[in-house]
Amino acid sequence: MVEYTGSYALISILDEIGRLRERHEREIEATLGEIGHEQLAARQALEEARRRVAALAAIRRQQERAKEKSEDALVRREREAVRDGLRADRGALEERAAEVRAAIEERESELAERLHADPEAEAALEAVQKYREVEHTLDRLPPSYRRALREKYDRARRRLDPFIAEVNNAPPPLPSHTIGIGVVLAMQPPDGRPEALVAVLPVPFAVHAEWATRPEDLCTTLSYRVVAAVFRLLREVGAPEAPVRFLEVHGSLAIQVWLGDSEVTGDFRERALDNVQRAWDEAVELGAASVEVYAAWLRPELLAEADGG
Amino acid sequence: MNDSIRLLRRMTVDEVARWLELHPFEVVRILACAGQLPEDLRLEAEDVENVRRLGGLETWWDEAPAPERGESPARALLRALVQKLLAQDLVEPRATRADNLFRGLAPEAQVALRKAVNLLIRERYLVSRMMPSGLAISVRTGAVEDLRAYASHGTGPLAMAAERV
Repeated sequence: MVEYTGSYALISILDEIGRLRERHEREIEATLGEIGHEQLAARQALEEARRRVAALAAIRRQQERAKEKSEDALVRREREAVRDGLRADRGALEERAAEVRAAIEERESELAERLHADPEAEAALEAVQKYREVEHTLDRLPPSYRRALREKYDRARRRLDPFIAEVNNAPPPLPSHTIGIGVVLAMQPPDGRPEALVAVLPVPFAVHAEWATRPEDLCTTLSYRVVAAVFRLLREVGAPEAPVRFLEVHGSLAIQVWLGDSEVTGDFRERALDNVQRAWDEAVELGAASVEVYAAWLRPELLAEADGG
Repeated sequence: MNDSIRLLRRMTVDEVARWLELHPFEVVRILACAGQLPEDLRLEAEDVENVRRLGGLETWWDEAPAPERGESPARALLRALVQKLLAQDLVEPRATRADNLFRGLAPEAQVALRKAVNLLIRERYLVSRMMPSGLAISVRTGAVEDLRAYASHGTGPLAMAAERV
């Protein structure tokens, strides 16, 4: 047996140090354990967040596809609305044109009856007719004879003045209700320097393509006025040489202007509206037919033909 | 329409267009550009000449030219057209309305001449450009000698190209 010869204090200190070390190690172990738990929890949270991000991205893609589809559907519906609107306006204007034609025919037939019932007027009419027949040969006649014929013609014309004024009056006002029809305008690009302008009129394309066989009517005069407005506009904005084409859009007559090679000056959109407005203001025949015309700016894509026709 | 009424009525735009062998929209264009389109869109017979003058309208043909030396009617048209272009000295920058080239011809001759004009533009004997009064045509400066050779003797590079019309 070993017998201690020294102090017990040293042993007691060493024991205390041993206990402290054990306690410290336990504490560190406990801390490391906690950190490990925290790390695991953080890794799981990160994994969950990644899954959530991926899931949200998938949902987003789905929503974007749905949005695209619904935008396509909306554009398709807008195009259909434009096409249907033009067709309806075209129909309404053609109906009104037929009414105007009937009213003019009635007025002219009544006028012809009155004219033939008036012997003096009828004689004057005959004199005018004879003069017109020989008018192109007058240069070959002696001046005195030519002058006499001309004076006779002028007298006859004066006698017919009231009839001439009446037959050349604006169309008789229709008792019909007022209809509103739209002329569609589109500019490419919609903002900034214009490269192209399209005006679609609610009149059949035949007004342009079949003018030689189609009688002039309200649809034709509306087209003349818009054509005039477009050329006046081009002159005003410094693009009188811009190429102009006439084409069919949704069954209607369209006027297309290429401005890409022109230096357009001023506010093109405002001037375009001013000019078409002036065209309606001058159109007494539209007023007599109780037709109001308005212009509407649309996005150019709405004038494209629908997919598959 | 009653004939007596027709006699009293001023001309419509399409009547003027028929008279001038021009599309009515061109009549409107000419008058609108000159600031002379009547508000009621009706014209006097005297206005027809005014439209002709304002638009630079000319009638180049009374009838289709008679073919020479066994040439086809289409080539006779081409030769006669080249002669007319040179006679009028329509070398750039001078120009004439494109539709002047055809006015006065019967529809089928117009179709044949249109093919010949397309050939002349494609082969760079003629140049086209837009003017305020519409599409205009000129003889290209460098093409005068070749056109003259064809118009006078039926020779030169155009003679070969003309085989295609």
